[in-house]
Formats: sequence, structure tokens, C-alpha cells
Amino acid sequence: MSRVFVPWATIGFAWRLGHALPGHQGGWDLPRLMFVDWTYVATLGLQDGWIRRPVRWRFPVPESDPDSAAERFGASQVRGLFGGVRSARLARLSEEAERVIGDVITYGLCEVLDFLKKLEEGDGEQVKVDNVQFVILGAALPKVVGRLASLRLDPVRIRVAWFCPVPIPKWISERADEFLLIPPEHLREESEAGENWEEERLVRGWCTKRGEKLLLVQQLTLLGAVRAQVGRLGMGRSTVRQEYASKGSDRRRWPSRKSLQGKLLAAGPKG
Amino acid sequence: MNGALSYVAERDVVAAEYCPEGERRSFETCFAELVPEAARSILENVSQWGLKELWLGVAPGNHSRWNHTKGALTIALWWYHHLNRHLTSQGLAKDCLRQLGLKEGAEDALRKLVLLAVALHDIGHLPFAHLLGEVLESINWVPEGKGLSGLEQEVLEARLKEHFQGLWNKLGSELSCNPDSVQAAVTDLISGRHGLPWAQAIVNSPIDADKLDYVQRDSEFLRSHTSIAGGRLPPTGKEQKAQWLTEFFAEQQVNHAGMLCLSGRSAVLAADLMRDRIYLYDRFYLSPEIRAIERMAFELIQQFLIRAVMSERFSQTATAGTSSDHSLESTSTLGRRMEAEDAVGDIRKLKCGLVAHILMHLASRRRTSLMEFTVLEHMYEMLKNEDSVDAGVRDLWQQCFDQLWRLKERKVSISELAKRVLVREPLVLKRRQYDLALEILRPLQHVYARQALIDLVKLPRALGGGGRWRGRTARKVDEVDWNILVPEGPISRWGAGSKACRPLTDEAVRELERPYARVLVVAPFGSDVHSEYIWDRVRAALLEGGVELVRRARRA
Repeated sequence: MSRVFVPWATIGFAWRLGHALPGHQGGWDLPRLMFVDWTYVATLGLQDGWIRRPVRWRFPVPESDPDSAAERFGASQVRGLFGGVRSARLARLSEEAERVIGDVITYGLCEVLDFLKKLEEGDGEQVKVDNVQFVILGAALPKVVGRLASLRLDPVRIRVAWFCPVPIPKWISERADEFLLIPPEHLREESEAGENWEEERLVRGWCTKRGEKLLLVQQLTLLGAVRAQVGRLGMGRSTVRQEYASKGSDRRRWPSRKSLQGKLLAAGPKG
Repeated sequence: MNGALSYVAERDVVAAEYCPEGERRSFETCFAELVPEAARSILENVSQWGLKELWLGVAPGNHSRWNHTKGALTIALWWYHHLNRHLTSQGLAKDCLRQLGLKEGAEDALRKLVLLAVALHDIGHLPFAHLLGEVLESINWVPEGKGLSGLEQEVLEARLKEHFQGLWNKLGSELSCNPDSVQAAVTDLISGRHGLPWAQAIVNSPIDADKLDYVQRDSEFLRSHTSIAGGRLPPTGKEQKAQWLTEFFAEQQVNHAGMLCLSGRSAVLAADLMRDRIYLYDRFYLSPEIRAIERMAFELIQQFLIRAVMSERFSQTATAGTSSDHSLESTSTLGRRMEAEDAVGDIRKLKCGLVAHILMHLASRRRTSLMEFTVLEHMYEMLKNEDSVDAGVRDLWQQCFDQLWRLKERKVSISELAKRVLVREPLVLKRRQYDLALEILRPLQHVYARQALIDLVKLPRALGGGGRWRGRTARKVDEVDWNILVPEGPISRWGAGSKACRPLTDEAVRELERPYARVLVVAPFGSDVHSEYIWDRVRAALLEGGVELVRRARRA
């Protein structure tokens, strides 16, 4: 049985939120039917990859009255995908949309992990994927973060990051605003992740200049015990150095980019 | 009714009154005729408390949803008999039928409708009972309910449609109405949304037949098997039950609007029932000892269900080789349903349907009195093979399951285990701040998922039960049960001679309320310095977030 060692798999995930009513101009009259279009691109190390067939999930927007919204609101934080949470109606809409986006991304991530598992268990050729980098286009919404954190993923093997241009593009939502959606500390411009790491923060973020534009980078710090530094950006070729320091235990250093490439070359298909 | 008669003899007397003249049948025969066999097969292996019996070191045995259903039906039969006699004597029976659009002479069919609703009131329960509802609610997977919890409502409606169609046809022809209307009437009665107040009071209200039975049944079980909950439990035993019910029915009447009027002793005993129910929740169902153990099972169930719904591979492996007896989302995964052309999916409803489907699959091949634990064991077996999960979290799951297994095998008692895993004392907050606390604690749970489990639970309101109206005054929002009239003033003033004159409200039963929520930190590896640090962080986060703690934490 031949064995293919894949040091990393990179998944680039993209989604788009919209209203499914033809002719809706995005005014203050809220849509009753919305959709999330999503797809992803996956590459296995420096080998081939695949593109998922894009799909659309439609969902109805719930009826809303101020009382019921006030009762249900608060299960987890809503930042206000639709222009803030001061209006109970907008909060409810944001809440629902964030949950669906969370479901879409969780489902997509599970689909990728299922596929990799199938590859690993395949007959004839055994593939070993060492780690998975899941890169999502857009900002880290709290409910999405919560959904992904609920999976209790191995933070050493599976890493999740968000990349989002600033100002926030329209496809996230017409009224989305970076000052509402993104914690202020993430909007600081730094060349790379700093060391100002807080113990109980699920997402850490910073801005970096890409040409004339600012790019927001946010990273899921699963289980709060991982310090991660994303050194270089770019799907499929990103290099990650990680220092795993979980309160004195399991201290582990990851190989450099050079040694990863060397491993890949050495581990190519064997007769 | 003579209170000196035994409970069994009493219910047989009531049952016999509904038999053809000259025929004497036991309650069991009457029951078997009324309740469809499908209900037995669904409820027989579901234990009354989910897993709590095992945590007490006792096999559920007869303490099942099926036996509880029989008990509730006994009470309902007796209660209906009493109210119907009163309605007939006052000439109100015809008004009731007219109110429901039924023809004269349909009394028997109406009786069947009400009793059937009581017999089927738990048909929406899946394995793990209310714990499952909590698991799904905590991740917002439950569609909004219409009286019952969303999950229970979904399963109830699906099962009533699937298993009892013959029954609706039969009752439809007896009542000369559409079978779907009969089914809708039973569903409404079970959910607390029916328009006939006194019938609604029997089926789903703060003092319904379900609560009358489970408060007494559970008290009896607790007295026999544990010292938890102490000596303040209501009287048990057949003689006392009969005496209690006789007194409870004695001063009940139905007024011209069909409302159930509780005067004098009946009102006092209704207050006792509500008090006992809150006591049971406070000291047993939601007590810190029980919650600490349940939280460990909660974690395993939740993690299993998230994967089973989101991952097609996991779901197929988890349900491989099982068959199911229902039609809830039987063929599709979440992704396939949502991707279907022109599909507009209520994702929560779809997820709930998938959860119901998976659990019914798992339960269908484990038809024993320990069904729920074997399902839990299967869930853990599946989880421990997940290699995408953090190793520390997997260790925690293993520790959780090991602890639960030791409890079930009686290698450790619940008080010993609770003492070991509970970190310091519970943090108590006002019930109205529950949502705020939930929002604050959720990220903390993600961060400390390797070391500890954080539990948040709120005690129920005294006015438990189905649909009610909400009235807003200048100062507050009160819930009103328009099905029941009670005497003037707070419950402490209800007594002999007091007449029913106003609807039952939150305000009337305020003295009974325990308006609190509790936060526990559970450390499956045992309470130590690290878990105490987490407890401190939880407390600090709650205080920083504006949650007002009711009691100050004791100094260590």
C-alpha cells in the first residue's frame, strides 16, 4: 500500500448573504426570505484540489414583534449584521442570519473533514493529512465562532481563520459596518499577530496592509490554549508556525516551511 | 366518593360507570380500550426521569412514562366524572357541546377526546426526556414552540399524525366532523391551546392530571429510594391519594363560561400541589447534585447530536444497522434538504427533525428499561473515535462517561460523586437575568472545555403548564390562566369558605415562586485548584457582565 503524506490541506470558504425577493432594493422594509450562497476550494498540500459545487440555502425570516425578540435575544452575542441591534427587528434578523451562516460554515467544515477522512481510509492508497487550514472569506461573526467552537476541534490539527477586506464589502450585508461587526482591538494595523494575547478570547485579530488596502485577519483560538501566528497569507501556500503552550503541558513545536516542503518531496507516492 | 375506599377500587368504580349497563369492568380493561397500542410501544421503554433513576442507583423499572400515563389517566377519568356530573346537574353540558360545535348526545365522544389527550400527553417525548430539550435549546436548535417545547411539539404532531390516524377517523365519525379537526383538538388540548377551559384545566394547566400524578408518583419513588428532597414531600400511598383527590374535587365547579372554579379546600389543595411541584424542582429535579451529574450526560448527548446532524459520515455510522418506525426526516441530511431546488428550509425545524429521527433510530434497537443509558453508551463510543476532536476534550468525555458508568453500576453514590465533581457552591442569580448569564457563560465554556463544564439552569415558574395570556401592567408583565378561577388574594389567604372569583395569575401565587437561576461549575476530573480558578473566572465574568448574584460567595 502506498502512502501519501499531505502536510496540510487548505480550504478557502466563501459565502454571500442576500434577500431572495426579486425587486427588493435593500431599503428599510426588511426581506421575508433570505439566502446564503456558499462554496469552497480545497487544496491538498502542493497537490491537486477541488472546488465544491456552489449551493444556495434559503431560509425564511421569522415574524418579529418587540416582546418576543426581547425574550429570545441574548442566547449569544449579536453584533448586528443588519445595521446594529438597537431595533429588536434588526437584531432578530441579524440573529437568524448569523445562525444560518454558522450552520453553513459548520456543515461545510464537517463535509471537508468527512472527505479527508474518506481519503485517509481509502483502499489502495493511504493518505495522511497532517493538518487542515480553514480560511473563511468575511468577518468572524460571534454566532459563527460559537458554532465552530462547539465542534471542539483539535486546535493543533485544524485551524480556522477569517480574512476580510476593510471597509467591509457589500456581499456580507448591505448595512454591515466594520465598527459594529468587528471588535475595535482587531482593527489595529499590525504587520502580523502581536503577542497581546488574552486568555479567554475565542478570536484574535489584526489588520494588515495589502497594497493600498487593509485586510482584516481573525483567527479562532480554539479552547483558548493555543498561541498561533499566521506568518504569511495566501490560500494554498500559507505557512504556519505554531507554538502550542497549554499551561505548561503538551509543549510542541511545528516544523518550518522548508522542512514541510522537504517532507512533502520525500513523501511523494512510492511504488 | 368515599375516601376510605382504596385507590384501585375507586378508579374501578369510576370506570364501571362508563360501561354498558350491567357490565362491570376493571380500570385496566377500560384503559386498554381507550389507549391505542402504539402509545404503549412508544412510552413503555422511556423512563419517567430520563437518566435520573440510574443516578440514584435504581433501575427505572415501573417508573416509566407508560405507568405515569396510566396514573394521569386514572386521575383524569375520575376528575372528568366529577365535573361532568356537575355540568349535567347544572344543565351546562349542552352548552359545552354547543360551544365546541358538537351535536347533542356527543358527550361520550367529548369524554374520549379529553381522556385521549391525557393518555397521549407524553407521546412527544424522546429518550432523555427534558434533558434532550435542554440540550437542543442551549444551541438554539429548537423551533419556537406553541405551548410545549419546540422539540416536543414537533415530535407530538408527527406521531399523532402517523400512529393514530385510525383513531381520528373513528372519533371523527362519532362526532360527525373531519378527522383532522379531531386530531387538531387533541393537539391543542395537549399544547394548552384549547378553547374549553375546564377540559384544558384537566389536560394541561398548572394543576393538570399530569402534574397531579407525577408529583405524587415521583415523591413515592424518592421516598422509597433516596433521602434526597427530605420529608416535605406530599403524602403517598393509595388510601391517601384517594383521600387527597376526593378533597381536591370536592369544591370544584364549572361556571357558565366553562371555567374551572376552585373554592375552599379545592383551592388550598391546588396551592399545595403547586408548592410541592416547585419544591421537587428545587430540591430534586434541578438540585445541584442531580444537575452536576446530568451536565456530564448533557455534554455527551450534545456533542453527539451536533456531529450526527452536521456530518453525514458520522450520522451514517451512528445509525448503521437500525430501523425506525416513523417518517420524520427519514431520508435526507441537512445539506441535501437545504440544497434541494426551491427548498426554503426552516433550518431549526430540519435539525430538530433530524435529531428526532436519529434518536428514534437508536432507541428502536434498544428496547430495554435501560434504553437511555445504552443509547448514551453508544453516543460515547461514537465520540471517542472522532480524531478531529481535541485530545484534552476527548479525555474529559471519557472521564464523564466513566463517572456516569460508575454511578450506574453503584460503585459510587450520587452524593459522593457530586461532592467530588462540584466546584465550590452554586452561584445563584435572579431568573430574569438568565439570558444575560447564558450569553456571558457561553464563551467561557468554549475556552475551558477541556477542564470543566458550566451549567446554568433556571427554576420553573409556579404557574407551569400550557398556553396562557400575558397581561402587561404599568410595572410588570403577568401571566394569567383564564381556564381557572381561584379565591381573591394571595394563596396564603385561601381557605375554607373562600369563593373562586378571579383568574389564576402570577401575582396570586407569588409566595410560591423561587425566581432564581443557578450556575454550577462541574469538574469531571475532580474539584482542584484549576477548577476553582475557573469558578472564580465564572463569578467574575458574571459580575463584570452586570449579573446580580443573590448570595455572596463564601470565602474558601
